[in-house]
Amino acid sequence: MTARTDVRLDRIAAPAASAPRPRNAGAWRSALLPLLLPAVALCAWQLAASRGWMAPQILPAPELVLASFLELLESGDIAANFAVSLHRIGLGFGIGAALGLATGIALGVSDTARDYADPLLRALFAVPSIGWIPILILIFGIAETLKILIVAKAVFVPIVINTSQGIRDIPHAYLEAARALRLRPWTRFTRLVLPASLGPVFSGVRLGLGHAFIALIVVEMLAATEGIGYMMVWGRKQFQTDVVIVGMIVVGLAGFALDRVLLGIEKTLSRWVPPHD
Amino acid sequence: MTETALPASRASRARISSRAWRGAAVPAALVLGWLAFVDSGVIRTPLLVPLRTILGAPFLDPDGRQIWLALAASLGRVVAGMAIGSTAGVALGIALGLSRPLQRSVAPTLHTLRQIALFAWIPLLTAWFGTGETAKVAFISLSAFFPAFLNTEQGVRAIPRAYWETAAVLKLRPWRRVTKMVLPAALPSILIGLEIALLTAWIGTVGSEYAIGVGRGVGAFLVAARELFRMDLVLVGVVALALVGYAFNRASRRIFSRIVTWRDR
Amino acid sequence: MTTSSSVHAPAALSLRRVGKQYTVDNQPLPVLDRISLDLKRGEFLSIVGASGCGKSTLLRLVAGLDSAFDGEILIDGRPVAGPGAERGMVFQDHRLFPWLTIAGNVALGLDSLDLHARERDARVAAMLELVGLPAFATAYPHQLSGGMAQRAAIARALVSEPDILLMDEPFGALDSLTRVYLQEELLRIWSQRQVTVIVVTHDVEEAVYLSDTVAVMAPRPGRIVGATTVDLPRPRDRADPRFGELKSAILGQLRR
Repeated sequence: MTARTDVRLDRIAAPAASAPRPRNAGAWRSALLPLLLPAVALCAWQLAASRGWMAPQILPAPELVLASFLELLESGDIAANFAVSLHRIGLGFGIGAALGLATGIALGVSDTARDYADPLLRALFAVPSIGWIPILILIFGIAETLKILIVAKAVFVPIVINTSQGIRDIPHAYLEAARALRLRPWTRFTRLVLPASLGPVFSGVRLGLGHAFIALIVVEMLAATEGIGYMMVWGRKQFQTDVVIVGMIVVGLAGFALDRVLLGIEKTLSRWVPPHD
Repeated sequence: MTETALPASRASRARISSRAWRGAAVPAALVLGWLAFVDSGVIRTPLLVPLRTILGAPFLDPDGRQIWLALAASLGRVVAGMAIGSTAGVALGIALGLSRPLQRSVAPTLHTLRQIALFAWIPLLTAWFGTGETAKVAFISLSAFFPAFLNTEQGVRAIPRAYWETAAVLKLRPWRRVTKMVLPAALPSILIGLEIALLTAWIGTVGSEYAIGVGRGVGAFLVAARELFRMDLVLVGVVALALVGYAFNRASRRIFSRIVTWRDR
Repeated sequence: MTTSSSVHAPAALSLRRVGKQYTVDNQPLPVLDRISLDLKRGEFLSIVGASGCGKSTLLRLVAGLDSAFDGEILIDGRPVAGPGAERGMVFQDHRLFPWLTIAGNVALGLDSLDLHARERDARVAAMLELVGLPAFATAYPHQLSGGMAQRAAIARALVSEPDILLMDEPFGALDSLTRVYLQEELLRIWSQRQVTVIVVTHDVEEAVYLSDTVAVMAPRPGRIVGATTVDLPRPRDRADPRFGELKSAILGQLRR
């Protein structure tokens, strides 16, 4: 193979799994490349705003967005809304996770329970959060209960599914060994069922929290007067698109932070539990 | 080796039908209870609507009959948004997989944008496009874009290096490389992405219609039903939402699994 | 061991015309066909046979893991009803719980006895001593080699002091050196504990080395086609010509 063919190989093959081979100038370039698009977009944005190509309601100047962001941060508005949202997620998650774990365990352990409950649960799970909102609004109005219930429902679904599946996926070999050892029901539950299903259960919790966050944003946008979801709607109503964009940034950062926290917890947990198949 | 046990065929058939009975038990009880207490008039509250009213609404109620037009409008939008969003997603996913510099410059931005909960885009889109079709279809396209893009990108990245080298040795030109190697190799991931994109687009359709409230569609139907305080119409809308989602799920699963088995043959 | 169904003084384990069949597509598929044998207390029995002859199925019936069969299985004259404290079982894959320490796993064998923590710990320690793993009480299964893990599994089965130890191809997953070592360990434990042992194996050499009696099973349907008494003195010498003769005889029964 000639040197020319090798070079062509490098250029067309883009397997991300391979280790990077930075020659020094190339290393700089590959570190800065991710910033290229945002920089260009920012410049274009600045240009459009300063030349007045679009009305400020549609495209506020970048410095306006930054100013609004800092203003809302200083005035404590962002923090206050954040606190409300956090409270809702916390409560909703607590309720949804507790119910979800209990139901998931029941469905995983008992065939009878699963036979009775499965079709109904499947039907309920087929309705996304957006479908539950008008139903629950008619029943509960738009008070806090609504938001917490929607969050709880969003948490409940993946936790039930993952917990029950996790329990049912416990290797038959262990269940048989437990039978041969004549383990008492409580021992069987705490020494076999729980540890063996811990992985899937935590996956369910992680998914649940992710869904909870999204559901929270949705319900705060549609039926709330405070919360980080509401911030965007409020900005929109005032025709202050800069506030809308600030709201989107806050929501994006919050989602990202949540994701990182969960990843961190998962890593710490996996260090504690000894590795097993 | 421990021999695996063979279930007695008759016993397992009996087990399956008893499971079916149990599964039907709770829904049947609910229906019977509903008929006994609500339809009969024993319980009268505006929230507990008789079953026959709910079932009849799409056909007999003048407001209920709107559901069919609403469904048609929503389905039209989801098809449009899905076409735009998933095409863009797959195309971008492949493009980024083919060019390292392109991937390094574009992918981080897209992944950052992905952190913003999808629904949060609606106020901005209505600020840009108003409350008409454009905003809704734009949102639906966005909803379809991300799953299609992410799964395609993953699929292309997972292509073994050996395939890339083969394409190079065969001196395939870019277009042939895409059609003959990249697309088939990444197809399973792409199809999964399309499946998810379809469902996300459907939820996005109803969601954006609900949030924007104006115009025809299942979401707007739900808003109207809620404002009229008609639980029966709300339930009609929700059932329509769930059924279409379920139908999309089954249909895409069936079509895509058939494509994959055809490919593996 | 006797293969007749004549009644002597209550045998430690007695199988009387034990049969089992599955129904596949409305056709009966016999798996075990009228198996009868008696075991004396402290006897060491091996059951050899090709894969699919039903020897593992038979063992599971004796263990009480399966209760659908014809005939009788009697322990000290009493019919079995599910797993019981007088029988311990060792599987081919050790089936130690990965999230428990070795001591924790062995302690599971005492769970059904509801002992005080102190006595439980004492018995676990004694058992680990017996199988040669006292230093690994706080280790986790993934830190042990296959042979050590299997020894821990034996400890778990024996800690409740059962009368009968059932082993389903216990050394099948181990390399031959480890296997030989564990065979000797098993005999040592057996002589110290005086349990009745049934080992299911496809390794004829292992069977002749370990047992007082070697039963040969043929498949389809599973039935005992031969029982050979191994009256060589212990410890057995694999190089002994009589050892080889017995091996050949049993292999001959298998081939039929």
